[in-house]
Amino acid sequence: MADPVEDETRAARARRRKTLGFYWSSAVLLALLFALAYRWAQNVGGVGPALVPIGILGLWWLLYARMIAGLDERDRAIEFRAIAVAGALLLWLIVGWSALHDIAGLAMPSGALFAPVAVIVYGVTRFVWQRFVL
Amino acid sequence: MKNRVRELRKAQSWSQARLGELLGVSRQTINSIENGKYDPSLPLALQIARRFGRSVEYIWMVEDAK
Repeated sequence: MADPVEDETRAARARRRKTLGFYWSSAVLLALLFALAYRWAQNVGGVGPALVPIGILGLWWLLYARMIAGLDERDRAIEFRAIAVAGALLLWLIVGWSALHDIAGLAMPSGALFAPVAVIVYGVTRFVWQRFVL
Repeated sequence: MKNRVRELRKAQSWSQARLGELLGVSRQTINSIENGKYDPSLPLALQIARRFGRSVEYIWMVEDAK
């Protein structure tokens, strides 16, 4: 006879795997879309085109919230730390680069570069946290 | 916090994956709890205690501060 607890938890695990896979592929895809949309908005100019990358970020955020809901509590704790650390690192990268631009005249990279960099920094942070910290 | 999760799990001959399945969490979560790297939330701690038929106090011990 089937064990209802086991069936339920197996379904929860399958859902978690599916959610994580869905999130990762969509995060990479959306980062690329964001980068392209940002470049396009830069070329076209004006407020209207700028809404496209902002919309893409919003969509990413919705997918992210959906993924968080499907994780178990330890994964959720890792997730919050990884996103906070990645966010802080990225902020320092932008601030540091801007400072070097002002002080040493270092060329500023295209803003479109930051979306893929954000995904990479986040992924590495998450991996390190999951593997070595928690 | 120290805990007896590993000892109780082994007494039941369950793998970490099996216990994770029963509790609806990942094997890595069970591993982190057993190694004291991660302290579970109160609902999960209660679930673990119920699964082993023990009290939370029996399973988790606060290490005395020196």
